[in-house]
Amino acid sequence: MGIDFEKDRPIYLQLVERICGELVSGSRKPGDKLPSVREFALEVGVNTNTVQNVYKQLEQMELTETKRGQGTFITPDSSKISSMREELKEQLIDRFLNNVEMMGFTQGEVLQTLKERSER
Amino acid sequence: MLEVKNLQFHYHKQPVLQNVNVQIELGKIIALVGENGSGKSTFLKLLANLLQPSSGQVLLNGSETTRASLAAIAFMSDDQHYYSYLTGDQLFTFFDTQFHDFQKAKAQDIANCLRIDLTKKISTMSKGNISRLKLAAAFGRDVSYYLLDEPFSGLDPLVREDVVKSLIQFVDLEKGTILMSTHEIDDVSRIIDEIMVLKDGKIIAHENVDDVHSVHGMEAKEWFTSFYKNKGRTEDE
Repeated sequence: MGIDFEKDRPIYLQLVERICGELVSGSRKPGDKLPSVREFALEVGVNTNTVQNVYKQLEQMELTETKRGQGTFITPDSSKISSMREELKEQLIDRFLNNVEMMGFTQGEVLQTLKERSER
Repeated sequence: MLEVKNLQFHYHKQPVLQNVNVQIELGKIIALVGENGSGKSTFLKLLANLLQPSSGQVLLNGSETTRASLAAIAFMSDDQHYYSYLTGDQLFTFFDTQFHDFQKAKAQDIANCLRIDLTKKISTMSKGNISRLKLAAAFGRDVSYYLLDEPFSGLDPLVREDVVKSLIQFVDLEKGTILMSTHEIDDVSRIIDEIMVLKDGKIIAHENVDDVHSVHGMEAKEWFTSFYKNKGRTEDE
């Protein structure tokens, strides 16, 4: 039903990340309307409280705006999306580098391999 | 809010529930889990005022529950002997005469969604179909608390998915709460807000599912299994 979730992290966080990902990739654009809480809940197969929480988080991150009686929209301000994009990239790299160090690799050799890959 | 204070229940002098204290807020989906015989059904029946506590209280919005409280509570039993002489349609007509909050059209909608033939006699329905019909009848009511005893028993995995969806679709969490006993934590883990664990007649945990994920770094079922075992161990020592 709906989409699959990782089992060890709160579902609402995974949904926030998913929407952030859609903003980064451009499948959701500035000004787009988000589905209603109920529609979204049914689409992904979670309860409406979880979706409420997701929409609240997105609003706190200033990625969405709620217009009275019209629903929730992605912010038209693309600079907010770009800064979220940068932040997400930093987080991703932090997480990656943490793993790299934990496994005992050096940043240098990993960088080397990354370069080789991108030239392939 | 539905609140339980120092609840004890004895059956032929055997303690079934001991010193249960719990608060059930409006607007949540809550799973009640525990082994067979841990007291889940008894607990739900006490909440629904179908059984009387040996001592302690069940409070609905601050006052002790009575038969009249059933106006705010829908209870779905796991009894298989369920109005077997009626058809689904007749069952809904009967419910319509019994509960002023019953909305026949809504119940029919849910029944359609769950693909139940309402013209069939209940005695000729499969276990899974009866479960779905009972669910449609329960959700056809407009109440604050839906207490469901094993709503997934007898359902195959595909149908369980439909039922889980119907929980999301047909209950307005701004006005109602679902408390359901279940063995199928995996099926409901993505739609529950809270998990309540009964063991040997005691509530040994009542947790927010997001906390289970982020504090314990586990999925509901995994957490429950390890918690259940460990709790047993520490109490034995």
